[in-house]
Amino acid sequence: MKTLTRRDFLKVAGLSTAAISAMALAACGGKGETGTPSTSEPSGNKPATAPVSDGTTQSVTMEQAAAKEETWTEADADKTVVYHMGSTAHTLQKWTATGGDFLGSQMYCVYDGPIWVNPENFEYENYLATDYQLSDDYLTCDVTIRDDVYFTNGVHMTAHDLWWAMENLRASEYYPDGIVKAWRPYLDSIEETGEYSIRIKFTKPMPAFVANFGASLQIMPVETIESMGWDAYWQCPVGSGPYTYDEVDLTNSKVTLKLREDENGYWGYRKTGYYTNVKYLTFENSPEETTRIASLKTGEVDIIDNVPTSELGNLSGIDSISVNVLPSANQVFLQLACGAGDAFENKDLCRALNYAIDRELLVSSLMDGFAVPSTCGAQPGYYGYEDAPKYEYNLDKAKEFLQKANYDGREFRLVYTLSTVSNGNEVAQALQMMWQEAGINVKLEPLDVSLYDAARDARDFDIVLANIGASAPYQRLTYPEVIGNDKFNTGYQNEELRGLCQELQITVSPEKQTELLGRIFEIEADECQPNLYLYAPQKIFACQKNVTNILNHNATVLDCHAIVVND
Amino acid sequence: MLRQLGKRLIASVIVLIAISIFSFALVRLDGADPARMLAGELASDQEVEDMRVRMGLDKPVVQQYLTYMNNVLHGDLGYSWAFSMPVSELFAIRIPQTLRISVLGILWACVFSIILGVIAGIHQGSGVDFFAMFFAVVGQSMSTVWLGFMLILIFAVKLGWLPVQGVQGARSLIMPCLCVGFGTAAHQTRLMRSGMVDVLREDYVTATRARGISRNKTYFKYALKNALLPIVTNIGGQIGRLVSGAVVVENIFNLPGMGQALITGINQRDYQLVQSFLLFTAALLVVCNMLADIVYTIIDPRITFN
Amino acid sequence: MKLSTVLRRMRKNRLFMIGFCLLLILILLCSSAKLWIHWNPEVGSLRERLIPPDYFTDGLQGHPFGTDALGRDVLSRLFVGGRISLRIAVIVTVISMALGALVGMVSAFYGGIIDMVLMRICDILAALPQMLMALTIIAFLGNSMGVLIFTLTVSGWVGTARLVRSAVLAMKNKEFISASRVLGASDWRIIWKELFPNTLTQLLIDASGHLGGTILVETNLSYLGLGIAPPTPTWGNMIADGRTYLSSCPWIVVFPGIALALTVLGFNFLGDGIRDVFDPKNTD
Repeated sequence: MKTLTRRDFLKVAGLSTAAISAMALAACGGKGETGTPSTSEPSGNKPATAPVSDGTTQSVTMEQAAAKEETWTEADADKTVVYHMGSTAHTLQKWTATGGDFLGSQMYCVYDGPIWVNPENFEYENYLATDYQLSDDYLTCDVTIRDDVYFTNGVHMTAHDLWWAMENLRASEYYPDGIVKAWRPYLDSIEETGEYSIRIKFTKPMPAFVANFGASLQIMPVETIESMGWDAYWQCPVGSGPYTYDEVDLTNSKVTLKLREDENGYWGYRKTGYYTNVKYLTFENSPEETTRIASLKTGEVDIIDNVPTSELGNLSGIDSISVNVLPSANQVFLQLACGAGDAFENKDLCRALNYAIDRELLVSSLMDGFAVPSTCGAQPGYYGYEDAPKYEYNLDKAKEFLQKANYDGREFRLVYTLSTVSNGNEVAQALQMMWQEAGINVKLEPLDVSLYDAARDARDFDIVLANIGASAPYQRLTYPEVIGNDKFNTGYQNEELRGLCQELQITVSPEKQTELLGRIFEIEADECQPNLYLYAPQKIFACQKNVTNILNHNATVLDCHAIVVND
Repeated sequence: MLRQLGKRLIASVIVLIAISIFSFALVRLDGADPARMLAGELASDQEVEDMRVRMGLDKPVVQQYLTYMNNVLHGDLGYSWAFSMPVSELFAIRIPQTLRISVLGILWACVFSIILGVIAGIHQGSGVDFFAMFFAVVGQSMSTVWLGFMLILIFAVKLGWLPVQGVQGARSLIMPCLCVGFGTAAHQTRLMRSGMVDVLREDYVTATRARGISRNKTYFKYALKNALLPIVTNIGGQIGRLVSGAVVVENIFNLPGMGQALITGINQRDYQLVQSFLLFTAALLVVCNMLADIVYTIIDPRITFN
Repeated sequence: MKLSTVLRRMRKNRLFMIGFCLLLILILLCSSAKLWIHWNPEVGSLRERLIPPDYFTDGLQGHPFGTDALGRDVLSRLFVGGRISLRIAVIVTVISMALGALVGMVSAFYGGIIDMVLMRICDILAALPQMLMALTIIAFLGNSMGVLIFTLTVSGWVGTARLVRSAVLAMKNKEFISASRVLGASDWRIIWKELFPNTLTQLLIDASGHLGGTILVETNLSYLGLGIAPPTPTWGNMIADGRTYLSSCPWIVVFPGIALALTVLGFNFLGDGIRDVFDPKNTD
């Protein structure tokens, strides 16, 4: 029996160190040439691949389909599409789901709304409603819906169903106040005025009425809910849309929808001319981005959302995959603690902070260009946006203001959480570096989301990195609510600003809103309190090229109800 | 032996009670308010208050603890607010997934390390022995995270042989199991090998061979049993390492197991989920250690229970 | 064992020498990092992000190991981060060892109730895997360096305590102890002068394992977001940060991973070497 000699130990030692290094370097080196699209360039900036929007938003009408076959019905559908998302949901009730887009994409597939945004020209149009009339004082609305709509379980839709949906938003044991905040304070009464019409009375003008009067209302068959009971019903809710719930696994955030097979079919296809050949539509959560992308590449998955910009290089060269950009529905911004005695009460300090931020660089480097640098708390197309004063990046001015403010070098605390800004680590560090250049010291405090919320409530921060939007177009929330009510406790003291924002809460007419916002934007740009807007990130989604006709209603959730899978 | 088993049992119960108090206190340490967390940013103060009552958070802490322990003894592990279901149900759904990779992880680690260790011990100085040492040394120096990333990079992204994530059949379990069991396999290979080497040097082995018993019988009947002893005692400790490993591995490979649930629970201050999970893990470890001791005693009746 | 014997064995033991040299080089490089690195490890330039490594073609002026997502030089971060990772590991290990040795010795020496109570405490702390405990404590107490060190220490000393306790139990009844007692030595004197030196070997081996283990746990915690906060680099931090860029810019993850592996390897070799050197069966 040989004994292991010292020489052998040496060999073991040497080889193991060499092997580890070799393996790692091989993995690394092998990637060298595929790393970035242009590794020959000395600069580290990856060229932003131009967003491709090819074929996925072309509508395929029934006329074109009919050209292939005689008449199309739901029974002709036979494809399966799998959609992996970064978000999760543990309930099917939109009104109690906590955040995320998971349920959002299902809304268009399962439910209909009175109004929708036309995916081709982004204008508000009647959908379920044949007509809706707002009174001049904006306190009454008469709505009439179609008479030929059937829920997937055969029940015929009447005004009673719409009434029930609205009435629950107004006052209900099922929907707590905090959840339906967008509606509850505004609804005074709802009454049925005919078999297919209702009258809504408002307590005060509701600026966001038309924007919210869509599929997310969840109009459902009242008689079914009443006969099954609330809890049992939600195991498998019913809508008037083209799809029904087939398999629901909420612990793993996985839901499969099946195209309806009832005799009535989906009325919406006949109205718009869209159709689908997808029989089964699966939505599933897949939290790791690298995983989602790899699954897309192997073909296991057909659609993925929330593609990080760093992975675009990975996807751009592949012929079978198309990458698309969605309009931004949220905005990343900073809030400063500027109440009496707070760190940023001094406006010069706020200005210094602002002038030191190079938003263009932030967007081009960290987001690879897939974001719109902000000029104010709204995005292009919103009232007064064009005339809003623009932010400027000027390091010298920043230093000037710093001097004026008699900055003593103290360290400010920047609080953020990865739950709301997913690349928060990078953004916060980049900001820290930029401020360092101007001479401002900032310490980073990444917190868990609950600690983060608690810190904001207690104003236990100097600067907060926050994200707003998603639930409603953010500009509708930013000024009236976030600033008007100082929702997040920044303590700002400008009473004129407060007054203007609070007036926005009850202003519906576009002209008046433009006027108010004009003044608000001026104040904000000058004082740089309480918010410093950074950028509006665009979301990217990717799909197999043969999955076409994914619709978009100027929102960040995809409308998958009319997908056509080509062979 | 029964008496000592009894004493051991009592000690274990004390340990579990202490753990329950510890985890109960720990999750309430930071003062964050799970009621507000769950009610949401936009909730009014009244709603948060209502939520708090619903969650039972308005009662004094000691009472909350006693209620909790009472429930646990009746099989009710509390209600998980993050997942909207009773904790025991969540466990029932999630634990099988974690068990799958953990058990498979241990299995391959044990089988691999025993075989490799034995052969290496018998054939000292050979190529197999060299490989075993190499594997043992490298395996114990690897970070699970890094190993996971490298595996994904090589096998899923670059070669495309294995799926990157999720639970699609057996193939998706390969890399997670590999990751989970790697450290244990390395550690045990080493133990097995040196155990084998030591045992084979013992006089009784030479004596047995001198009596004419065949080589194989000597090795496997007599030597092996003794060499296995360190592995058995070690297993108890390895289980703890495996549970921790599972948390990281599940995150890397996106497997819907208890590890992921724990992280979600911690982030959302889901008291009852975190408490019950810690208690459950402690109980599991205690049981495994006891079992390991019993097995040890059976294998070698000379060793008393304590 | 005579010092000269020990030193001679150390020199001749290849395993020990490799581990020792590896660690020596790493520790020297890391602790002197701030003197010779060219770039700022915490502040980079966004315009220079994600530059692939140029492997010393430009010397230290360039980016031998590339840059990370925020334009910071990976090489600089590697060694400065190493300093921090090693520092945490050393502090945790030293405290754990000291605490564990103390508890183990006292427990074994006095026996009886003290032993029972201390061992029960050990059982309780050992009932939870180190990482789970660390995870929960840090999540609820925040992730500063202090909390990190505290957490890792709290769960780390138990193994040492048990080890020392069994070593001391074995020695307790040996003759040289009885002899000391007869000569009237006090308890503490016996513990310190007689028992402790004999457990030293075990402690050293345990320490080397502990050092490696702590670094690995810190890496895992950083991956889960519970390690040291940015922009301070640690190896665990760097690996966690590089996750998003794993397939496109692997150098961000690979280099800290190699450093990590080499360091833990070094500690393991050192431990093995020490075991060999002090092995009574070593006939060298």
